[in-house]
Amino acid sequence: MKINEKYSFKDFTKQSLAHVPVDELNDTEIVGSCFYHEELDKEVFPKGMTGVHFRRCNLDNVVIPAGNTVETTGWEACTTKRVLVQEDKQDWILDKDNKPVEPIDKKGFLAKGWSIDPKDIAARAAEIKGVN
Amino acid sequence: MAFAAGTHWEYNTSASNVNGGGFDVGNANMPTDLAATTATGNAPVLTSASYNFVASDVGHWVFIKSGTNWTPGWYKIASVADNAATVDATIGAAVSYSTTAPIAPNTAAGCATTASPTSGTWAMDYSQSDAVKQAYTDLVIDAGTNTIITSAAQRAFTVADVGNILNVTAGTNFTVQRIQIVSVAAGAATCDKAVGTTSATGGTAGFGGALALPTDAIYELNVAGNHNWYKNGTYTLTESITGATNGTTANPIRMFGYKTIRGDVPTGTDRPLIAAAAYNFQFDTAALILKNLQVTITSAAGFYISSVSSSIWNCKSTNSSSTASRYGLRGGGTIIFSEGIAINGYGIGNARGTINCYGHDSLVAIYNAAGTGANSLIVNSIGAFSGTGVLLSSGANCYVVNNTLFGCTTQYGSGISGSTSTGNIITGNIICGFATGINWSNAYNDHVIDYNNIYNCATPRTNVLAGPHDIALDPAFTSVGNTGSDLCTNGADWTAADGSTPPTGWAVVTAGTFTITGSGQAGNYLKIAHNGTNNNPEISFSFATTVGKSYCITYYAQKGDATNATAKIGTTSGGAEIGYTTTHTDTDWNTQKVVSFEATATTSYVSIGATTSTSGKYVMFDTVTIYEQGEDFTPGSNNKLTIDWTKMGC
Repeated sequence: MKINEKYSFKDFTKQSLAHVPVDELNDTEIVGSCFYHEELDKEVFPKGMTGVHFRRCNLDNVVIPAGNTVETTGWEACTTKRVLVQEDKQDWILDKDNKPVEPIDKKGFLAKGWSIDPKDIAARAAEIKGVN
Repeated sequence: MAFAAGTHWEYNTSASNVNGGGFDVGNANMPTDLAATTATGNAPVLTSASYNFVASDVGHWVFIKSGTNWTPGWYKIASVADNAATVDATIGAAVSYSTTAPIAPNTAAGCATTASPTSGTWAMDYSQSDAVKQAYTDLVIDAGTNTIITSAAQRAFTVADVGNILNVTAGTNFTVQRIQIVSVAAGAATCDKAVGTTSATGGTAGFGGALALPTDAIYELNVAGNHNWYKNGTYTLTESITGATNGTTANPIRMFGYKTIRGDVPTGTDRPLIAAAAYNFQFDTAALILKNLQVTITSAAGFYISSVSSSIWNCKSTNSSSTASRYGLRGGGTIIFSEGIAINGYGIGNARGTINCYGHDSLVAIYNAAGTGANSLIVNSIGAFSGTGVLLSSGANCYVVNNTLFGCTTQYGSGISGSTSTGNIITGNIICGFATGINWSNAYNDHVIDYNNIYNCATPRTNVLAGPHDIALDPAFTSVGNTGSDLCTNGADWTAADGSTPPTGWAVVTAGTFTITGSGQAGNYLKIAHNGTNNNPEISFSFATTVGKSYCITYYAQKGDATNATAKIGTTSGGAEIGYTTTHTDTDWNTQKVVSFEATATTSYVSIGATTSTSGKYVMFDTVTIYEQGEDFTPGSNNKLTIDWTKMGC
């Protein structure tokens, strides 16, 4: 599949491509671009976009329209998590019911001795209250 | 076994993480038989008695480590003929190497100081290309020693391969890992670690080639002394990198960006960009140097170095998170010649030294908190277009010297602010365009505050004393603050607003009732009301922006009888992609609202509206202005802060 030079290796963090004509996107491969939004389930791609294959992209919190595909294995797998800041001011990965599962920086949490159990979010939030 | 201290890792977005990715310049088993002709010219011809250069070496780099009259460095092979390689040694095309000086593009042509040097110590560096030198599928582990491998048929290892890395990806009884070739004899490579089980066959590995995507696991392959080179491009992270591997003061770990050749010094968008999004790019490690890189991020901190022995040079971080108190650049060490933005937090924060930096378009441009801020330096930096130029919080004994702090043309926020912070030295600063110049919430006055120029600040000082040599002169910046004309063409007259019709130039985001009414902040104001059908009525105004430029939006808002008035800055109509939704509950026109931002798109939007679900309830807006911000902070000659020593009793 032809690599889409215009939309590959670009940073579209918190931006919308909804205005982009679909013929600039359809049936191409987008590699290494970031489409992340802070809000959950953000629709950033134009209606009617089909046949796009995403590789090595950040699609966290982004709705991937039906008819498009995502690399899911190997080092070029895209990230398609649902991520939201919780009460403890940290980014957590959510399940489909929007419940926190684990911190996105699990390694950092463990290194600091912080609990990675979502049950402890409220306690951690109380602990850091008022601390920058 | 860890990799060698002399390992240089290479990143290039066009490459692959299946590749080997690195090369050890410190390898002790390099051949010592390199010879050259025309070695002082632009195109030296290299030969080796122990290795015949081949056509597939073209585009790879010869590394000359040492030798009498040789000029150590990397030289790219331009062509191969008769077993000899012609390399490109023109000025700026090769990379000089030294253990005692920075690695940089060569400044003299040639690879030696004599025309025909001999006995050079050298190897091939296959790690700087997009593709592998060889994709092996036939590796064999020696029957007696599990660190020795051969290729059954595809490509025998050569003496020129030493120092390069293989990425073993598959094979029965092979360990999936990266291994480094230590030495080569008779086509067999001795590696730095056990490759698997003796006599195993059919191993798959990528030999040579650069990496494409930084990952946490690859970062943790570093040891003290390693270099990580990032060629210009956008690297979109797909996981957090939370580095835990330390460098040492003598042998730091380096992460350097470059534009076209290692050691060049890119600026602006020529610097490689790490698009980190919600992932971390932080290093709780000692002795790490980040240089010539950019990051966009929303997690807690952009480039984050926690150790006093680490530093950030010539980097830029933009943290666009709507979550409060996040950082652009955050460091326990020194941040120098760098730029930080955190739309709802601290542009640059908690560094031991903030030197020649630019924090802007943040809630706080430059910040030092308690503890980490003690005895820190904020010197020769600019803090601009932010609610606070420098915030010292409760840290102590900070040196805030020779900085330029600018709020906005119509005065906004505080130039330097503190709470319980004490014992600070604040001198030689230009503080301009703030509601308050120097503002302490507690009456701690045991600071040294003098020789500051506090100009165009409604209240020069709160809870601090004026210095005897303070001045209040127009710094006459070359171009700072509002420039050009107001980009909001109908933010005061509100022409044509009537019923469901928004003011001319504004677009409806959510339908409402729009009315021009008298007694605004200046003349008429705009009332935005619930129309009986749609909750939260909202309109937006689009304006052309230049990516990377700063803009300042000012307006007045009252909540009327709605829950609150809202304002957003975004890249879409009604969007808050740049920053976050601000809400206002004012009941008068007394306080001007100010929002500054750096544009990320060629069209930006300001959206204003009401939070209400009740028919007829309304909010009020007036005097919306949008100006591009001049960012040339060079002061005019009348801005004299020269110390008069006679008045100091000297």
